[in-house]
Amino acid sequence: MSRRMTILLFAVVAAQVIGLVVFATVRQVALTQGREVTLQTVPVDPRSLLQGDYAILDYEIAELHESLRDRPVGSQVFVVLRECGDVWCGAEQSPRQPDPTDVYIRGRINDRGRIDFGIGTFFVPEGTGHIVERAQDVKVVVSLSASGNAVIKEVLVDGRPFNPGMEQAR
Amino acid sequence: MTSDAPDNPSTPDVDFTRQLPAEVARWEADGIITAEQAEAIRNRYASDSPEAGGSAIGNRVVTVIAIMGAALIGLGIIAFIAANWSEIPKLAKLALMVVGTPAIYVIGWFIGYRFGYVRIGVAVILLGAIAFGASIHLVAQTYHVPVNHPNLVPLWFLGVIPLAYITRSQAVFALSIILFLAAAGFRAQEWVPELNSEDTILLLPGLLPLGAFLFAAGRMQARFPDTRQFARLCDISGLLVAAAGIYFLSFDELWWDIGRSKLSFNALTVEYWGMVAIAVIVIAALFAVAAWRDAGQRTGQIWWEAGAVGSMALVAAVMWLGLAFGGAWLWWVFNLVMLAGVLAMIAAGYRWNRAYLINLAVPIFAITLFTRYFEFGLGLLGQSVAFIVAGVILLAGGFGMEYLRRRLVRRIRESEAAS
Repeated sequence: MSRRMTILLFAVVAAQVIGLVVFATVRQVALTQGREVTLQTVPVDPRSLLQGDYAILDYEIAELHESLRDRPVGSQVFVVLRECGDVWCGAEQSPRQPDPTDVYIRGRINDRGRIDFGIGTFFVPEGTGHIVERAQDVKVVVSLSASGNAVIKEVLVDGRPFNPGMEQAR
Repeated sequence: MTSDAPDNPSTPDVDFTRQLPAEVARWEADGIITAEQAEAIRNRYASDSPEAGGSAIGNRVVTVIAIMGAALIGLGIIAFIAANWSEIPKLAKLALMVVGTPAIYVIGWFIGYRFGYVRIGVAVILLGAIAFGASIHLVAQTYHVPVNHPNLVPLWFLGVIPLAYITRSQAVFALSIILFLAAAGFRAQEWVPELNSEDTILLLPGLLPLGAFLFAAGRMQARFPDTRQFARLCDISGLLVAAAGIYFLSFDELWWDIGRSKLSFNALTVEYWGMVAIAVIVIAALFAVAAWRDAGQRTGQIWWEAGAVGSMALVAAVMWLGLAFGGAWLWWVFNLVMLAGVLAMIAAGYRWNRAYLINLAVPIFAITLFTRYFEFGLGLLGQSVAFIVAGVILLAGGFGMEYLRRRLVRRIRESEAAS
């Protein structure tokens, strides 16, 4: 391999590493800088071939309002949130971006007629999906950016942060 | 170069390497090549010759075993990530991948280009490319980004494709093509976000421009010595993708269902048509480069290849129009298109001496034939007559091609004897 090609090879490897670091940093910043809200969920438990076990999380606030049901699949919807005790619930749904002073989450209408917020997947260690599946109450703490994009911060299983090691020991 | 040159000179067969020394000596004696050129040719294939203790098959076995090893280790890495082992902190897992992936590349480079075991070294670099994909999915897993997120596989593809050209590895290039096709699939959900699951059939015609792009990329690369070895992979993948699009629309039952349901054509967004337009422009550019490289040659091969791509574009147009306005009878059209495509591939393979085209056409024909056989069952008189007629046409065509081939060979020998 010529010197030029060797330099190119290692430039590509460096670009790959930079890409990975940027990807992780963007997600980490979204996680730490955003506003924290807790949402009520209903989970099910399938398996991803590449990423192992995960729980699919469906949210109470994902129920599409009647006035928006004629909108096509893939349309953007904003849900304004307000505190209802220990969780946040949907106060208002709109296809337009709400006032910046509101706390809101951005999603898209999926082909099941519900709203997909991009936080429907929670990865768990192998063989521990049943803990989430069998729980009586699952809540998700998410971090919301100023534009309404959400990142999962933590999952609360029956009121406690999800910790498969502790759950299995019990 | 001539357009009839083999697309993959780097993997000569056993007969070729055995006959080469005698042939080179004859060319040198006849004054066709100089002594220096003869020496250069002998050196070029020295490691493949039986005298050097190597053989093309032996080299290929080493390559295949090394690639299988890399693939197995790669699967192990992916399974490790999929296990989502909670005992290792997230940051430690990320650090492991960020340090581990470049380390694999460095090891591959040392083995291949410092110690001289190029085939093993390239296989380790392939492992690095798999580890890069696993790392992307590890980061995604850490932040609960789903595996079908439209940016993950495209990012993987963009990281791997330059490696194929730097290492000139067909295995890395094959991985790149697989990633490219997967990336197109994942991005499609972004281009057509409003598509209901029952309307996904509207995406099938898009396989034709996708296949045409890969085929055009292959034909363009065939005209450059540094990229010629990738041409065959591009051709095969492009033709397979196009054939898959035609195959899916060759089912009778499917067209009855299409006739009964109302497809929402409006779901095909500006982004979708924009990507089709970009594909058309890129294909035209690739052929312009190929035509420029062919300038001055009169083989006419470029026109055959452009005709093949033009035919794919025509079939895609018929698909879109058929889905918008057509009826149940269209399944016949796509079966005829498939048959015509198979015959064209066999004719092109025969005309341009490319066995892989024939080797590709025969299984495509067999799969289509068996599908129709099982779709309609036995005892249908009309279908049986159609099959028999088609079979007779093919037998007659085969006889005609063999007759022409023999006549051509006889003429060449007669003219050689006369001169």
